[in-house]
Amino acid sequence: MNSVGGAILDARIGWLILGLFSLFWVFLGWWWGRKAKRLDEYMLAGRNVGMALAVATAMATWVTSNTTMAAPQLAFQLGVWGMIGYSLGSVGLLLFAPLARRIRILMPGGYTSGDFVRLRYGKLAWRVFLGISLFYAFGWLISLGMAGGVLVHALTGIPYQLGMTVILGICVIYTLLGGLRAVIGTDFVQTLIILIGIVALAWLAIDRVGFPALHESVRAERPELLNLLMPAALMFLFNNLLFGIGEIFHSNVWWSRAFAFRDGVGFRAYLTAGLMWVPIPIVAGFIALAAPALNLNVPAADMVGPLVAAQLAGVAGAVLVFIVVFAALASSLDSLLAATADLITQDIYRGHLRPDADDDQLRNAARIAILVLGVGTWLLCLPRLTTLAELLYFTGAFVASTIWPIAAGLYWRRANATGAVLGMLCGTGVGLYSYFAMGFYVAALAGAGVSMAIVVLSSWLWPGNFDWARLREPERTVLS
Amino acid sequence: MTMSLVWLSALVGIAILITLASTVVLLGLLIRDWKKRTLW
Repeated sequence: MNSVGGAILDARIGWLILGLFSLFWVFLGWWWGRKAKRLDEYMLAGRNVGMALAVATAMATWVTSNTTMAAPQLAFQLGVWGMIGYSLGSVGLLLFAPLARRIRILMPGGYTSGDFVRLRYGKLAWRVFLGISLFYAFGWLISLGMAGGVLVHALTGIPYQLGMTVILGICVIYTLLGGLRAVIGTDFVQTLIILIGIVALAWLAIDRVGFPALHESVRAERPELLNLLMPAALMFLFNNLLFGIGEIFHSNVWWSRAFAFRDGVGFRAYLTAGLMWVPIPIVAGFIALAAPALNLNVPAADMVGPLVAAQLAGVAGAVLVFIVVFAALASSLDSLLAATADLITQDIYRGHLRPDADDDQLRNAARIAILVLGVGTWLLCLPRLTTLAELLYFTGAFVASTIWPIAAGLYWRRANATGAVLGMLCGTGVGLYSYFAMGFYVAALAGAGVSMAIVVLSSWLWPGNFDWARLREPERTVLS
Repeated sequence: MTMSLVWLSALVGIAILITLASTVVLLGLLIRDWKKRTLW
């Protein structure tokens, strides 16, 4: 077995790519964000985003390092079902399409997912939801920051801490400069880079190795990867489906876009983005199956994508995968920074600390929140504690427990605060137990199941009769 | 040729084609929104 121990690219090439793309993203962020003077323009891109940018931002945000790096990792660990299971993440985008339309109708002046939970279920549910949402946001931010450091180190030899710092720092700077306008604008460019890049990488694997040789090597050395009845992989498939739905239904990343897209765009944009997202994990993950044919020794599963690309096309392959993953990382990091900062600004700062804050104060608070999130993520990323997939799926128990409180709360008058609170708490508890007792691939499954049972049972036993008009109330003062 | 080779090739081939088509769709939407001045 060959071992790719040292760096594939010269560190100077790594710095050159980092420098050029960093300048590019910061310039675009400044350019698109320079007119974002009002709070709505900074936090929600003026609530007027058209179809092209809407589709691209939904796709780019959902194509994260967790797709471009963890999809190969999962293909390497769980085989074909790893890729297909990951592509079921698109179901979350598809199912969110009708929700986005309803959110925009019910809350035309809303800012965050926290606004909805507060107005729909009250303060206790709101605080439980904020805890889950912020924990998830940090989990995702850390997995993205770690992915940046891992990628830069694997490809260029630049120390993990240094690479992670640069990538995180650049995203913080341009998000700070331009708010959601900068995020959505850069997302379009990043989507094109990702789509073209992953097709080029897959084509390299087909061209250099070929399907027959690749298939034969996998069948000889890792036959379980082609097994369609691999139990862990099947569990993963359903788990990933629910995890994806939970992530999208609750996260302010997606809610803020529902508020930001112009009238009538949300449904079509999320539907189109979901359909176009389906093949991406398959194309991105496929190259990992070339590892046995290349006799590649993979020291850490989350490095399999970059290592295979470098083995296939040397420096050019490594440069390509570097640019693709950098774009994927940036497109998600910026979105998450902006949306989580909105949640902190609207639900923590205005909701709990300064109910009478004016728009200028809120805009400044949003900027400070972006900066604090960046620094917090940086500190938590410094020690590389776990692999990308493990960290990501740890949050699965939390987010899956929010699916039913959110969906039932949007469509069902009978859904009530007791069911929402108990559903989130018990779903998270059972999901975490499953995570430690059985494995990462069942946490979301258990969390969603328990939460569903509680929300449905509670709505049946103690039916509410919610007045949808209450979601439109311009409620500024929260704590009295 | 085994079945697993056939469906693996088909799966990846179709995924690549859809990804390429998505790129074209995105560019088309961008041009349309640009012309109609509905980008933002």
